[in-house]
Amino acid sequence: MNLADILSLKMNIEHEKTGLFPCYALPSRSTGRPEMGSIVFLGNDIIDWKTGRTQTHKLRERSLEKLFNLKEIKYIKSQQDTMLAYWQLWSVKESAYKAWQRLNQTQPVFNPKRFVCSDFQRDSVYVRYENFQSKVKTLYTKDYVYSQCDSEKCNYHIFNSEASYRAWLIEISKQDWVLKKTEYNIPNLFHKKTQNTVFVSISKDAGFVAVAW
Amino acid sequence: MSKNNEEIMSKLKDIVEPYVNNTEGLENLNSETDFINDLQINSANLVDVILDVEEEFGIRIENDEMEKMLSVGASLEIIKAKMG
Repeated sequence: MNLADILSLKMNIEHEKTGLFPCYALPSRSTGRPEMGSIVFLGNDIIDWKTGRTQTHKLRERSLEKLFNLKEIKYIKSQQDTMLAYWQLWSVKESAYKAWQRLNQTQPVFNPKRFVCSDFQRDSVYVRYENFQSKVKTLYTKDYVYSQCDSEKCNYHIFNSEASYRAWLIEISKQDWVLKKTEYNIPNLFHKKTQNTVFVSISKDAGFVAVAW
Repeated sequence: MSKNNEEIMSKLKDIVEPYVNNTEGLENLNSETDFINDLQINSANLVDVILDVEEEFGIRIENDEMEKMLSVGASLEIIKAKMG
């Protein structure tokens, strides 16, 4: 059974069982926001490590200060591999931002410093912004750094090429699932026949495509 | 477009070029051009664009100004305002 089958089957089974979609966050028809009481934070970010490890210019003070506060910079500098720690915190903030943007259905903003990290561990960090709070986990391979807002209810898959990602989109379109973006460029999978929606978070970098749902 | 706007746009085009993944968007650059959607600049490179803008124009962009700098037009307005 390929990924498309798994995804489609899971969606259909879950919907039949619970009336909810795998993200357990049924969007309100009027606002598009998740219904209260069924909130899940969905946000992810992938960094190609082959390129990321070379971008040491990002460790200049001016660059760090634009994105991180003093505690975050202290954490980055305390790690044996500062470049890796930079990308951990960047991808953590990006994941949290995506989840926050989906919850609030707002136009994009670029202010990573708003999202404040704490409880620093190599594989998890807490991120807060006003009344938004999420634990974000990070995993590392020799090829990429991948962060995702922590939820046992969310799944993810990482494609190793744009081509394999596009092939998956074609596969699921045969089962009437299409990728649509809102006016704020937030992606959702939409079922053409039932008009149902599944939230997804998509991140791309240098051929890697990470899809969380 | 005024000469001053043209000069700023031209410099902005040079600044973003290394980060652009959609060259068609770059060729058709105008005030409506969005960095992420039209030029497909990776969000991780937005901070590099902003630092390069600061250096090129001799200005300092604060975080609340930075958060709106997602298009050519918005960037133009912020640069002009900072240059006085």
